[in-house]
Amino acid sequence: MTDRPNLEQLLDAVRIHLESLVIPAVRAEPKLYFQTLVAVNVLKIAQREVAHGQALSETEWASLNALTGEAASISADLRAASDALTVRNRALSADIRAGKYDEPGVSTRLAQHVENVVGGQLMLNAPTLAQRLRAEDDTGEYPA
Amino acid sequence: MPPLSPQALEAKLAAYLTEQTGAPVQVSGAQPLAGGASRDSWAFNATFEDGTSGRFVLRRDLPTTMNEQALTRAQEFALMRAAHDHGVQVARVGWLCEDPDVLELPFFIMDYVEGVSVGRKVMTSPDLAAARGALPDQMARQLALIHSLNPSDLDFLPRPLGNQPARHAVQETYATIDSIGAVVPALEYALRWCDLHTPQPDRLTFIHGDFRVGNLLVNAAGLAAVIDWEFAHIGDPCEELGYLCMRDWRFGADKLRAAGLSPREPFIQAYEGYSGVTVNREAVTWWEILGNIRWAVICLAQAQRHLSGQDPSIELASLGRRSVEMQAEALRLIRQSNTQGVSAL
Repeated sequence: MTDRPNLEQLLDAVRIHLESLVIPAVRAEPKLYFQTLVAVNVLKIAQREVAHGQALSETEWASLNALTGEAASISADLRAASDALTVRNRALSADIRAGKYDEPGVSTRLAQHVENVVGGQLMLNAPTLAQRLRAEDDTGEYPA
Repeated sequence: MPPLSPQALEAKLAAYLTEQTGAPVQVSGAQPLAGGASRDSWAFNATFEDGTSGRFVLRRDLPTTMNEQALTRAQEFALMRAAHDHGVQVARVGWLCEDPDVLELPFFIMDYVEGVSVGRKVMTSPDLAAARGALPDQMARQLALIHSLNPSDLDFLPRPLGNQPARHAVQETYATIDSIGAVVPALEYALRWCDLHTPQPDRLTFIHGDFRVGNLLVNAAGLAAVIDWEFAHIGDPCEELGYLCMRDWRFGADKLRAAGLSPREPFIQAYEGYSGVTVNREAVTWWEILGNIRWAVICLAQAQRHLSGQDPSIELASLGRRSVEMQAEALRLIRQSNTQGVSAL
């Protein structure tokens, strides 16, 4: 195993390179400057996914089990787990569209499931927004 | 198609305008305008034989189409002219050219209007503090005016199937999800909720289709011009009111639901005052939710353009990961609507 640097550290090396050397060099070219800022943000998402992605998948899997009443185990192999989640989400999506989750009780449980899953994804992809939304929920002060 | 150099564009425009006006026209100062991922926009100066001169904007198609539902340049030209004649604050359009021999792709030329269109700048620039105070009322007034445009003069505008804009929007969104093979239970839940709560429109009107900060030119006095008319269609005016309330169009000013500039209720009341029409608040909320779902789906569709190899781009790839922001917002609004009750939709 090559872990010096490990995957997170490799990504960090690219991010530091972009931030410290590339961005200052392209500041005069607005489009390239913006695209490079986007690239840095994409790297940060990838770093968070490396750190937390597996745990999120496991949480989503367990939540799906609770929602559907199944007791399936998630694969330890990341790719296999991701593929299996897609299969289960495809089935769930079809059931939702077919109206199988329309009844109030099961609809509420589905809403909680998708809010939890999206909440986890938001922490990876837009942590600042996730914090703002949590603050609204904590205070009950919603936009007017 | 290689990008045009400013000098090449100036020469081609001078030749075109000379032919159009029947007298020599000099063109100078061509500059690409920032923003607008779907169109190529340039500002330039033109001096006419009688000594008059002015600054103009060229708006031209790009070879790749961001959205197939967008109007053609000829249609956009026609409706901007109609809007201008109706008193809407919009740049006066001058020339339309669909001849590929001139600039390869269709374009039109309109008057240059000074102003800021970048959403974040409008929301934060100290120079625009007074403008931000004036904008909500100005936007409400312009929307009322836009919604009173006579659509019978613009028979090319897309109309909702069965005159049911909410149902049509839900069906279109399902179709987009299926066309890109997106598997997202959160979107399915949110869209199913919308499908079960579709509001009936009180009326159908002309709709700008992308009315928000970011598509307005703003100067120190406030709203200078409404731009980007390519998504105009016939629909429920509540769609337009809900759309500008979307969190992503508040550009960080989260607490102020109407475009990040005003609480929603006084904004709707101002619109009611100008339009003389009572607005169904719950329908506005429904359209805000649907707007978030649509934007979430468009993000995934844009990422698909990158993933398919059709249009490799870090920006498009990153948009795919932004989808979850709008998903989260739609789910929150649905939760709030469920708590408050939606029976009156």
